[in-house]
Amino acid sequence: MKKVKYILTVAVFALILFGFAVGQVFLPDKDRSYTERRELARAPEVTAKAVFNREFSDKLETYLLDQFPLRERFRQLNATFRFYGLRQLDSNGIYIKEGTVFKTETSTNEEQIRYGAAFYTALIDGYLKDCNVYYTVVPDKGWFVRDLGYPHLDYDLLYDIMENDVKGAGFIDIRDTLSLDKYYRTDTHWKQPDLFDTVQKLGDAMGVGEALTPESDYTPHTLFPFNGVYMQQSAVPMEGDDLVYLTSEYTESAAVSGPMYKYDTVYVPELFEGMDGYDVFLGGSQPIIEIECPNAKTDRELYIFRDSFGSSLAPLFTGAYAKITVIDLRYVTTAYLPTYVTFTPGADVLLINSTLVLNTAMIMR
Amino acid sequence: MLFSGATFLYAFLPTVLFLYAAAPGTKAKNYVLLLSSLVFYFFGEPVYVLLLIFSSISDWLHSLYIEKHRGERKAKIALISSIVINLAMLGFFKYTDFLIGTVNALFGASIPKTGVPLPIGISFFTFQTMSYTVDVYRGRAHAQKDLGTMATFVCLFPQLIAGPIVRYVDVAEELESRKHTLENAALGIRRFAFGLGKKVLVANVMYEVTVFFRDSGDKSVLFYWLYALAFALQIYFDFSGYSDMAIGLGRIFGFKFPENFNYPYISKSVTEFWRRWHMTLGGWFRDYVYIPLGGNRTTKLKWLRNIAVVWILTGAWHGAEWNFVLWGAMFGVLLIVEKLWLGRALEKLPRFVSHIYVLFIVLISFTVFNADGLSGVVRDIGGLFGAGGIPLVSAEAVYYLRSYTVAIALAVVGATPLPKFLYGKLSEAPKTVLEPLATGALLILSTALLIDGSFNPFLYFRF
Repeated sequence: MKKVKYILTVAVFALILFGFAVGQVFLPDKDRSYTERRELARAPEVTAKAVFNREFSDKLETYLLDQFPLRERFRQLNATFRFYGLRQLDSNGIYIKEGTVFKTETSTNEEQIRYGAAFYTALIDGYLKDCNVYYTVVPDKGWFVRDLGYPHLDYDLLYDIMENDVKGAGFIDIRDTLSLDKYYRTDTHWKQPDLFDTVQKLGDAMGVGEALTPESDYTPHTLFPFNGVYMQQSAVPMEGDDLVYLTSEYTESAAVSGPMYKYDTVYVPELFEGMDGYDVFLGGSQPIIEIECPNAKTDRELYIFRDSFGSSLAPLFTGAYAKITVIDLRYVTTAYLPTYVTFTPGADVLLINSTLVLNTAMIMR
Repeated sequence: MLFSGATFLYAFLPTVLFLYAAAPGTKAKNYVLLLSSLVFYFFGEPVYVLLLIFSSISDWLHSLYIEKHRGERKAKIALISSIVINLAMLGFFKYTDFLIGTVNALFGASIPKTGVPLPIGISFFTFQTMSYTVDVYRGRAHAQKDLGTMATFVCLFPQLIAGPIVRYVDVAEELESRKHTLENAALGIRRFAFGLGKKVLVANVMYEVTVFFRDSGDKSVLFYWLYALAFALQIYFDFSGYSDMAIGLGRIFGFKFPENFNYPYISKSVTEFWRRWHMTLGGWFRDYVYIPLGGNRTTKLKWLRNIAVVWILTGAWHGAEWNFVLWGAMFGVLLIVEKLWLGRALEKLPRFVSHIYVLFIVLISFTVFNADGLSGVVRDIGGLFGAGGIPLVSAEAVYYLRSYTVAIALAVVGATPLPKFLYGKLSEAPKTVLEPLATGALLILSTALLIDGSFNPFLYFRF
């Protein structure tokens, strides 16, 4: 009996050790991890310098871990072990409550938030004095479960700073128009079809509430599966979301352009299969996009300073504004704004960033 | 290269095992081990591998000379020379900057530090080579004639960088001739897999708690104690896991390395704790420092001096910082107190009281051990008792306590002999399936955590 046990032990060990070692050598390397949204390490170059300063051994370890056979399965196994074996509340900062995936936020960075408020004020003073400026803050999903004991931002502090420290703009609190089910289960973002209350509140505040396109005039288009960023980071096997985008005569007739924008429509469905399915909305990370809306019900202009939440919001204003300029100050600095944008006096301006971006506001320059 | 890294597990080890199996005879197998050990060390310390080779040659030559002149004054001179060279290496690489820093702090000087990095494992291999030369001098071991065999002993990768501290006499016969059996291979593999699991599945998970604690801006008394508990578990599972892996690898290659840990956290006194914790280091200091100084067969004053010397050296061995010296001195004082007064009282106390006493000392001591210098000791020990007006409880402490409750509970149970006892109750039939399955599961699960994790520290870089 013992001999059988010994033979089995040696066989299992050898199979795993040599099996994966051989797999490492013969399986082709992958370029990127879609679930982690990053490039995977490639085989390090062997040079005397790299070997002697230990760069080679460090990079080799990273390479072997990145290109390990069945890597995604191993990531799932780790997450399953953490959540269901060790009963950890989160794995790599990701937690799941009733089928919805969240990210813990352990540190509220007051300095960054104050920078964000001061940055807004300086932006308004420097470029937007002749415009009607409004701003709002998009709560991250953690705001809706802030009483459940998971680490979250200090929302009272963040909203207090943003409401009180920004000068020259009117604050629009949209929290009462949102609920957790208006966000994707698997992603950080909100769902476009559930934004009508939010858009109405913003439109009313900016004086274009009457001109907004009613929900019934939109046609939904569904893409599946949308495996959101949180789901991918968690590595827990679960079903993706439906990603729905809304078209109307206004979105369809809009002419879209921008210095880095390679497309000519507000939606880019072919990007759904890329690293981030949410890039369907305005092509994802873009510094400046201009949307001309020839059929709009007004001749007013809107400038939206936004993060990715604004990407799905902007198309819903195409019926109300003749021109919408969407600017992401994480990808273009304010100093370069005059090169690309001329602000029309009397235009409306909406500054819209999420709590997550404001907590790291120094990425806006 | 770490045992718990992909490079070791899935590149280095399979290659070495293949070459080792293919090599005919002990001599050829020794050369496979020697070359692979040098490659192993070279990966982590490309330059210092020369130091390792120098150390091997130096002690090989010294021991040959000692044997040749046994009983003569020349032998003693050679022994002193060998010890001076080993201590000079250790002193220069490990303690020079520590001394400079201390002198600068005491006298307001600004002597520039050397900035020379510490060669990994130097405390282990210098102690091994010193014990070898001393044993040859004492006549307990014959000088190894073959440089290759001697270098194989010094460089042997399973125990090179994190122990256990293997003495030449422990493996002298096996270096010359050893048996490779299916039983040895299987039991070695089992031991290695369990060690890997202890390191990756428990120690690395506990390490996460310590990192969250350090990064937190929401400290509380509860968080300090959670941190202390997590670190005590981390260091035990990390260190004993590494020792298990070393012992397991040794057994696969036909060596029987000494045990290094024996459930230290079930001790009922600090004296017993140190009979169960890092046993090879304790044994080394006993045989090569404490007893040569006179041990306890001397006057009380000298005996106290001997204990003080041993424990200050033990502390300093673990790291060139004052908190390590303090840590060692603290144990020295506790051992003296136990031997003089407290020991008998502890024996009369209910077992759980003695356990609580030891665990309290352990948590405090490892908080000192892991502090960032003496100022860190003051901050961390103060934090355990609410100094600085920190709250008793904080939201983050409660969250991480909840999140790691199961992991901590499993680690606490795993630190006792209970799992082994229960497993021993099983008949042989289920073990025939369970052991291979557990070995495979530990390997696979550890690999999963390594692939998806960023927490895989190497605690012994200071040793």
